[in-house]
Amino acid sequence: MFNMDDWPLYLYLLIIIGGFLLVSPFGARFSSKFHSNQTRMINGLLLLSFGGYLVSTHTYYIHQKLHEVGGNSGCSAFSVFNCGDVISNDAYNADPFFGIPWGILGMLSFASIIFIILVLRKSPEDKNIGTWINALLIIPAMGMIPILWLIYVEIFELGVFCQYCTGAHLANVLVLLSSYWIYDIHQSGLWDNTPNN
Amino acid sequence: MRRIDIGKNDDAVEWMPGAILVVSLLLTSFLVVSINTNGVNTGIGKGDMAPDFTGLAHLPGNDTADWFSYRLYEHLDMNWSGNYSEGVFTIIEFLDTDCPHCWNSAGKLSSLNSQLIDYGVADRVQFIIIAVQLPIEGHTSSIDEIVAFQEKLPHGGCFGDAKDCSTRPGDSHPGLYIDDLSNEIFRQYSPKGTPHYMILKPNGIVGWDGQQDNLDEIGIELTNLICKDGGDNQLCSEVSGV
Repeated sequence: MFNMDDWPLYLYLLIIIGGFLLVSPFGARFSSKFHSNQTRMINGLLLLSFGGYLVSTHTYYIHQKLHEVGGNSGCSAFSVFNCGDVISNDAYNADPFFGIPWGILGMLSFASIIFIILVLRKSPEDKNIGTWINALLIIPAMGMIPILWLIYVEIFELGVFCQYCTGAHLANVLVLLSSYWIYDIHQSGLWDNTPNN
Repeated sequence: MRRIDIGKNDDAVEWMPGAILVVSLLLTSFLVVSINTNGVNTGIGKGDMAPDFTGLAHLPGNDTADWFSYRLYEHLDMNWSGNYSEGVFTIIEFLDTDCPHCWNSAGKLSSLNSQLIDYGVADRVQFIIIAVQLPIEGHTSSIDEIVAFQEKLPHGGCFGDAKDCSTRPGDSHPGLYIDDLSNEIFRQYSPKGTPHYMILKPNGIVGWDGQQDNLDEIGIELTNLICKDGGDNQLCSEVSGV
């Protein structure tokens, strides 16, 4: 089940799950280490999004490796997982409108999310904070559309799953859930707009 | 739409460090991936990697019903040294047995093969002819028709059912015929039409995309590739004037 060829994936998953645990109610026990619960959640979400960014970047790296002459993915194939079979498939390895590899789209999405989190982290008092938080929720929500389509393709068209892509999908789902918690804090009027500096 | 004036807006100053950090992160990531990979595009343009395909193949002389599975990438040398005096080049032609242009240019491959034999370089070239069925009225092909076109056997269905396949120009074609009546490979490669000629280097990179080859350049282009780094054969000797 665990293949050491995929050690980068395990590292990314560690970052992703670690970040999510920090955002989640489980992370409340670490609240004393942070300025407030809100700061803890924002830092956890930053860690989680960075993990998503790293796994997306690795997916793009695999895409490029597979497009070398005679190149191979460098990731393992086991059970129903084979990222090489999925990412090497030119019919599904890029968005159908512009042909941009999914890895790049993942990188751009997580980079946008990281940017918004950095704004929330640095300027919680920003008068447009509601807009930033809405954007934080909308980006991963929009990401669910291609993710659901890609999962459909993996199940019904290809019959195999790309483990790195699944890592990125998991990160997006967890970012969506975490963003909702932050959105909920803002909507319920509990947003702490005390400047951090 | 409200414009954000960075010069006057303190909020913009607040988010600027984040923007710089994220842009730096993106640039660094693209740089790292770019340095550590050497990817090529998949396609049919010169310098692209020809797309892989698997199809049923027929060799001349085999029984009409004798087809076997053939995968392109299993017959390429992905570790080719890049020395043009080594390795096997692949000529690919997309054709439709009912297409008049394909009929008229059918002698080209036979003639090319004869010259390759005469110059002692036949072992440096493999032929792959992909037989498609264009969605045009009157273009109805079959396995029997493909084999008849390949080997010039009696069959009344060629040239839009107007001619007997045994009367097509040229000799029996060398190399493999691939059954692509479903047009799956044709859609994957997306040539503009038929006939469509290409030459692949031994590692599958497109060395020449001749399209319909209206100027009959395939022989010259193949010679240029085979003899680019010289070679111990009559063809390259004549090219270099030795």
